Amino acid sequence: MEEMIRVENLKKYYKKTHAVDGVSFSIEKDSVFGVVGESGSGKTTIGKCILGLETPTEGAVRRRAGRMQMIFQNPYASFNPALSIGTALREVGAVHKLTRAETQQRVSQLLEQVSLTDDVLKRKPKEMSGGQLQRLAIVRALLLRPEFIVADEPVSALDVSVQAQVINLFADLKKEYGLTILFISHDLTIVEYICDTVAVVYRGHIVEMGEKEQIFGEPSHPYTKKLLAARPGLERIVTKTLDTNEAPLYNI
Amino acid sequence: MRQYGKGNLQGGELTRTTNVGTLFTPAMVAASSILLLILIGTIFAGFLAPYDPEAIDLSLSYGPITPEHILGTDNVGRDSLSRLLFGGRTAITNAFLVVGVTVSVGIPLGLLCGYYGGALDGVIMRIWDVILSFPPLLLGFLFVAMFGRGSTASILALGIAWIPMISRLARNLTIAERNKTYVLAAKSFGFSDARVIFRHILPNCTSTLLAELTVDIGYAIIVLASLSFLGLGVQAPTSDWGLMLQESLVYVRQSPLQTVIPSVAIGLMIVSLNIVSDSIQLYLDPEQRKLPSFERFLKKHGTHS
Ligand SMILES: Nc1ncnc2c1ncn2[C@@H]1O[C@H](COP(=O)(O)OP(=O)(O)O)[C@@H](O)[C@H]1O
Ligand SMILES: [Mg+2]
Repeated sequence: MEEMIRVENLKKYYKKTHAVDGVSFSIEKDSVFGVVGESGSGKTTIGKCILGLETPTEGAVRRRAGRMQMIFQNPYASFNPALSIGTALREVGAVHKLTRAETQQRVSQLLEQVSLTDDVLKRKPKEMSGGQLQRLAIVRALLLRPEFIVADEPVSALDVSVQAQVINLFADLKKEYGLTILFISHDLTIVEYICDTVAVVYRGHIVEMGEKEQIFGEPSHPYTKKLLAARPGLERIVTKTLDTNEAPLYNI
Repeated sequence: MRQYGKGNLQGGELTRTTNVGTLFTPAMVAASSILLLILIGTIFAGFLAPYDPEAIDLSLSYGPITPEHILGTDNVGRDSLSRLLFGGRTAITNAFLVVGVTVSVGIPLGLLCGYYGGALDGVIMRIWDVILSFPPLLLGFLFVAMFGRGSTASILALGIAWIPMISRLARNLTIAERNKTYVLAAKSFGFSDARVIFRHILPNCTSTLLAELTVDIGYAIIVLASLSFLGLGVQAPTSDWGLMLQESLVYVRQSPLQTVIPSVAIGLMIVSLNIVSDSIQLYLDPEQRKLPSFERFLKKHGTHS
């Protein structure tokens, strides 16, 4: 298997906070690498360091990826409130020297793929629902045809009924565009559904890492066991999605 | 094809409904009508003014209100209405020039300091401290020495004296914005610093900056008026609200009307600008918006069709 990202002994300290304290892992091409852990454990910081949005205090990130992009937890925060959706999308194309027609064509295609129509382009972010706006964040991220995406808790700010739709969208777009994804979440159910490999982080350290089946089937670290024991059942997502007549996360 | 959620924007519970509110509260309508009237009056002063504002007629000094001179005449018999119209032109133009000087230097530097912080911020903020410790009057005299008497000196002095204030405001707003996720997102798309600062951060600061500047235009009119009293501003015989006010105080006993006219004009202008400023800020800032929704406004004022 081909390696796309390699993180070696990554450390990121903010003054006294050791946000990330020596993590190493590698992400295979075409896989979904899950990072789970409770809030404040350093997940977002790992993602930012991989994309070069933060400078590591120590350690190295080796990238064999082409373009890389990030999708953020709160879609309302990740769009500039002063700009319309269309302006935001066109700007990304323009800065990267796409012609107007090229940008327009990619936007239309992606909008269709995320079940939205061109009339969203006139809207301001605050006029969209959370689910719609997160789908637009995905459109914006895919506009430049990235190979690698960091999805930082992309559904945890959304309604449970909408979460499944967006997760399914991720799964489908991954296949369609051959994406490699670093998927950050504190929701084990979603991680189990979408990820191939999982790293469990706790206070800036990886306490356990392995294939999904191994982590969920025979967890070895007590912290992982605790997380698994504490998670809510599957019914939550399955029933919710059936309620709203949308595609269920699990096809049972 | 799989459907990933509601695509239509009217759609039910998923679409966040925001109370956009209306900018057109009664106070805002009244204030902006007054400003519009003042602007029309001053822009078209050349057509509207019945007389030459500088034509002296000593036989008419301290003239009362008459059909020929509907606002009377001043101590040397000049038509007050004509002077009011032309005087507004001078006062408002100069006030805009002051704000122009302040904005063009203060806002870009404030944005840069806020965004980069560090040594640049330290040095520029110290320079502002120095300017602030200078009384504007002293600056005024300095510029009179450099440019001679006239409005240039007072406009520059006041414009420079106000740079630190607007610059600090822009800086503090930028500091509040720069760590927001949308800025990080912009960086993650490889946008240049200049683009992030001027195209992404600045538009999110404009409502507050605009509100501040609207008020400043009003204050510029007052302060320029008091500078002209000290011989640091517009010089006679030019028509100017500030100068009219100052001159009329000399003969206020003979003709109090001539003091009332420019005072009312300046007062109306400032109050209207303040109302407009508050309304703009409330309207543009969803967090602290307490304006009535448009529907509620229409219902209350009974114009619903
Ligand atoms: N820019 C920053 N400055 C200071 N501390 C930070 C910064 N970013 C994150 N931290 C701290 O680092 C720790 C890890 O944060 P984060 O990576 O966001 O965790 P997670 O994404 O797992 O919730 C937290 O304690 C957080 O307060
Ligand atoms: Mg996080």
